[in-house]
Amino acid sequence: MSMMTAEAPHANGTSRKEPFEFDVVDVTGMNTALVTDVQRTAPAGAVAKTLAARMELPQNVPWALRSDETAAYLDDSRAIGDQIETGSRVVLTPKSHLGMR
Amino acid sequence: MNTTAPDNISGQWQDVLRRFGFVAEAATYRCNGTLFKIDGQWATLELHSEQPPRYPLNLASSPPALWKWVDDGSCPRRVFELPLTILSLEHHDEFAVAEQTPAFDACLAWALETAQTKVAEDWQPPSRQLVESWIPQGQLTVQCGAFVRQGELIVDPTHCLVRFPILQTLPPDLPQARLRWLEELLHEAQNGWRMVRFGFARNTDATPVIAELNFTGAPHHIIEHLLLTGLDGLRWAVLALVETAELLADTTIKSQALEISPIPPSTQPKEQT
Repeated sequence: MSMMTAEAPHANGTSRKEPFEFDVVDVTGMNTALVTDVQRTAPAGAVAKTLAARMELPQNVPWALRSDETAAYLDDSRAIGDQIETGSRVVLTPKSHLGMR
Repeated sequence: MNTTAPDNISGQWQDVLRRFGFVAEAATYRCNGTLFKIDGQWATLELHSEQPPRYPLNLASSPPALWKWVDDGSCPRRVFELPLTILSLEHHDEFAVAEQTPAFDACLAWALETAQTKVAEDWQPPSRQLVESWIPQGQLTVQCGAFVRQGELIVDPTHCLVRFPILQTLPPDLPQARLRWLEELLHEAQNGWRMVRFGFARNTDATPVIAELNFTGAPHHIIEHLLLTGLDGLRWAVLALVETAELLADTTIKSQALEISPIPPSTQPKEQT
């Protein structure tokens, strides 16, 4: 029995095997990086935490990703590849609620 | 030959083993080159009679189910390991028409069937939706410092497995010595982590390094427990290997120590991934 399996296309119609890369910039604009090693299927929340660690940003802060194109926050629990296209740019932002009651 | 029945195997299980053709020998049971033994909290079936493949880390040629090649220095062998908690499961399904086969009997039959590198023809995997419903939220994601890995559930008519990439791509210019170190890392993991299989999975555009749990052919009434137990181990294994594997595959990091191959040239496998 062969162990090779055909992989289903991803929810946005692209193959999971197609290269997936995007630019990330932290909220200060000081750190930028090209991300090429993240799977499309990884949840955006886990990706944000990973990128914060990679940029040596504090790990005791919750981080979120925001699309630079639409300004919308990515849903932490959904796959990043379902929310941005390859070649996109995202902003790594601390989750904060300032002064609002 | 000592035919005294092993005292760490219950009488009920010994009856089942005898029914499958096993004969007691010292602290084990044997049947046509297959050895059954209990080691701590694990039951192990071992096959010593086969010639190991030239390249055991090639997952494309791996047998189905939990069988995997290990070589801890004593002798290369195929092993199939299950926790005793799974084998002792008592299943009560109020909707089942017929009485369920006890977990031990069903698992032994599964292991022996798949030892022949085939799956029972009438075996059907549980539905994907059902398997997905068993996995707690977030358990297919492993976040480890600056790396994140997303596991994949593969359920189709002939497969039921969970796999995580350890490395997503293998640089084409990876020096041979680094590749040997990576193989050594995977060999060590293969010998040490129960149930989880490690290796290289060829695909069209890369050679990812993978850790997987293969439940193909497993009796339906134990898959949920097996998946949850195995997934926990699989996640720990991925967590333990990712950073080292990334370091070994990063050709921008120079290290004189890693320029020396971990195994003598004469024992290096011929086939490349």
